[in-house]
Amino acid sequence: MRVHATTALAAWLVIAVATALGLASGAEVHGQLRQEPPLSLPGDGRSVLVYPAQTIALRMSHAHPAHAALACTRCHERAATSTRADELLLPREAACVPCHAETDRAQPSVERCAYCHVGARLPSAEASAPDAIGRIFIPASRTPSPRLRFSHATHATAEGGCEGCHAGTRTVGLATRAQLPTMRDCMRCHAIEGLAAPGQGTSPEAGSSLACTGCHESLPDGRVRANLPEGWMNPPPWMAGMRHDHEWLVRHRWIAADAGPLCAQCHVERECADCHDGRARSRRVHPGDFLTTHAVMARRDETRCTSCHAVGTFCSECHARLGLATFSAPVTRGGERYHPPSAVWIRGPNLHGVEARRSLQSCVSCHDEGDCVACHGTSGVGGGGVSPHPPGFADSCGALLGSSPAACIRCHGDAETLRTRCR
Amino acid sequence: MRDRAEARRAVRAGRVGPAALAKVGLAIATLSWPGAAQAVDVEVDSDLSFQVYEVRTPSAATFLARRRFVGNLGLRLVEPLSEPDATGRRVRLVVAGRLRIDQGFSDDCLVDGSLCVHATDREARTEYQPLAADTRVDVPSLAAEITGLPLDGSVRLGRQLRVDTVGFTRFDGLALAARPLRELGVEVYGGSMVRGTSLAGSSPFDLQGNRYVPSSTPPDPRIDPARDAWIVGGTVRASAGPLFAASLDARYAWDSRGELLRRAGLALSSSPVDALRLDAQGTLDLLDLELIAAMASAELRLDPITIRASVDHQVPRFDPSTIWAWFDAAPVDQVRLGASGRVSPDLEIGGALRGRRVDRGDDQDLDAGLELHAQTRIEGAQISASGFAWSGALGPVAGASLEASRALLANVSIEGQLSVWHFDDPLRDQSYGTVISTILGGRWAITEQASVLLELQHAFSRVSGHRFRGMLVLSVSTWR
Repeated sequence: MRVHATTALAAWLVIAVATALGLASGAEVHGQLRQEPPLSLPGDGRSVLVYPAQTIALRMSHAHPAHAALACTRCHERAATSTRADELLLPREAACVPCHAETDRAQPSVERCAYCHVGARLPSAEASAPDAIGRIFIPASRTPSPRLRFSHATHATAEGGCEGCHAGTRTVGLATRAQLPTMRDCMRCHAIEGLAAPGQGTSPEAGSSLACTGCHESLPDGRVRANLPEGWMNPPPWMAGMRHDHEWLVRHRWIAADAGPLCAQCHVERECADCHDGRARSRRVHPGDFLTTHAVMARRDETRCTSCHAVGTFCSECHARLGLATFSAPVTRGGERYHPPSAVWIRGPNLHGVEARRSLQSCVSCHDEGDCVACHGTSGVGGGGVSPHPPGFADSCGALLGSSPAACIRCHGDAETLRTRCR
Repeated sequence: MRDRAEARRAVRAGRVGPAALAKVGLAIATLSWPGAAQAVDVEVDSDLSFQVYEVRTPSAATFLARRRFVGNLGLRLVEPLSEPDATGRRVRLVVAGRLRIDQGFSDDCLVDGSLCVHATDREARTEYQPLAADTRVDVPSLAAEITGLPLDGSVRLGRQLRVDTVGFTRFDGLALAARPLRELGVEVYGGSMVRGTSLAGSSPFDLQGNRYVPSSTPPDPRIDPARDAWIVGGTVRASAGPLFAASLDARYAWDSRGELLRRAGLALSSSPVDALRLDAQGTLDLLDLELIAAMASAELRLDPITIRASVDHQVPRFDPSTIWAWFDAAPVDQVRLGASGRVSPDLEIGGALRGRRVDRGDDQDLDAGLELHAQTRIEGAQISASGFAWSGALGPVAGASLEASRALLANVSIEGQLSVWHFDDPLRDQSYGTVISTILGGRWAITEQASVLLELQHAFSRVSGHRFRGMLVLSVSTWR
């Protein structure tokens, strides 16, 4: 790509300004575009992806002594028989009428309606009374269905009754999302392997434990449907150290190594490979112009590099084509020296030895084994070579020679002679 | 030409052995599985990306003018084989495969642009690069799996990826898993390790240090010949709820030259109280009984703050059939103490102190670093910022990044990133300076299933001057 720098820079400036203006003034839209969910939950510890935000435009107090004295099913009539989580179980008006005589549709007035319906008002600001057919505007409640599988009927006789799951309902005014059960509440009886505390999930009535998809919506292959239009449904903070926060990029390797089956509840192998064996780089892993800075980072954190890249092929291919490797094609090799002068790199302070011990993978990304054997092999420097082995290597190399002799032969030539030296 | 034809014949003679035939047979068997034809659910996903950029380095006589086209095509078929039981579990057949094509149109050019050569032309003996390939076709995964069997068992046959405390590996073979008790799970697997030289294989999860030519390329005297490797392993998991969980992994691999890998790993975790989680892992190389990886971490959740402390130990490892495996590579120890938390519903901040120590026997490297990050949502825009600074034996390096994205139109979002890095490589005079990079991009959701991403990057540094990079990605994903 050979682009005239001035022209390209000018074009770049125009695009940058346009993007900045767009970022600053983008319209609030509600289309198909996928947006990240809010960073936090609205203060009640329940995911908006599981329990979408509600608007209940009613005035009611569960804590009122008259209400608190009633059985839950007195008003929530269908709760005991409901078998699906998407069934609306809010009381109907008929449930209120026996006690609330002021509810009279025959004689509507704003005052009467607003006794229960928050925001009840006349159809227009100019009107002073209900219109000809008695209409008063009643704001609608919005209670989207939770993304769960749940049967109230199955749980009707569960320990603790309704408040076993809807804790504290009798002490609040309007019951909101904060009175809906959390995943931990469910796990008192339904334990997933490895996640429930001792004694949890052993309720005889609950039967066996549930898989994640016992409650969560599932994909056809049995995984949890975690990739939702609003964003990914991430594990709660308490679950097996799996909170997918900013540090997850570094921490996930440990959790995945330990709890792979749990990861597989939501993810497939392809998602691991898309990053670790991907062909298009991730901006989050490789920040801007990583081509310039990657050598510095490779020396500093090479184990992260090798979680995706094979040094001998991926790194070497590019370095060879740039003429940096000793096995590069002759026409690509330049006369300049990549390393410091031999006086300090090979001799004197022997910086190459220090660097090889510190970051051997960087060496392998350009050098062939033959480059090292030339000096370190037994026919190398001084006729005996310079041992690159760690101290005390001869005390343990016998087993290594027996199990994998190819590398020994490359430097030492004759394996039989070595067998007498290695213990 | 005669040499070339002979080389190709040699390749064919060397590759089409029993192992290769077994792999072809496995692929055909998987694809022709009777359940697949009657699958009730099909997921197709694909992405096509085109990238244009160049690779320059200050001491090289050439630069790499890179133009790449990468295409992925994935297919996933699901066939329920039984009705759900009381807990929702059912027996399912899942057949999943993925095909990838990576086509390069790259040239190696002299820095003054006066000459470009094609690195994959084997006839051009002074220009040919044995590791380079214009076309790479590989199959990252192709496996049939039956899940939901008795004892919570599953059977998986085909090309698959595995990760545990021993690390990643990809193999063509069979994996079995079962959980005979709620507290106990067992997994075993075995097959042919996937390498860059395998049929439609790739090398990322091969042992480090190998230098193999792509399977489609004739052998070169500078590079090792293709060699099949075999792998077996297993895992035992035990748990007593969050109070205690453990997994023990073992893996063994070998090829015709000897042993490649003999390792065992152990992972322990515990959450004795709700707010505290403890983890420890270790991997032992049984070839020389050295602890090559270890980690211990503690996480304390004091809402809304989470505090994490960890130490880890890593020793670089290489394929034991290479000489690198027997060099005295220094272990790297790191310590980290960090905290993060939400200071408001839409603002999360965090930071960490890090230390790094490399024991080189007669001396040691000591480095210290600081990291900070913040993430927020302002007026519909998602904004994140992060920064780090390190100093010590490896030289100073610092960087900061600011990233923002937001919806612009109903189906269009834009995003931008500004990053500034400063670095100084004490070993190379030419490698120091500041890199300023901007990335601008946009995503257009054409439909619910398809989207287009356009990303443009400009960077400037003293080392490489101006550098531009463009990427266009079309993604399609759908279930039937």
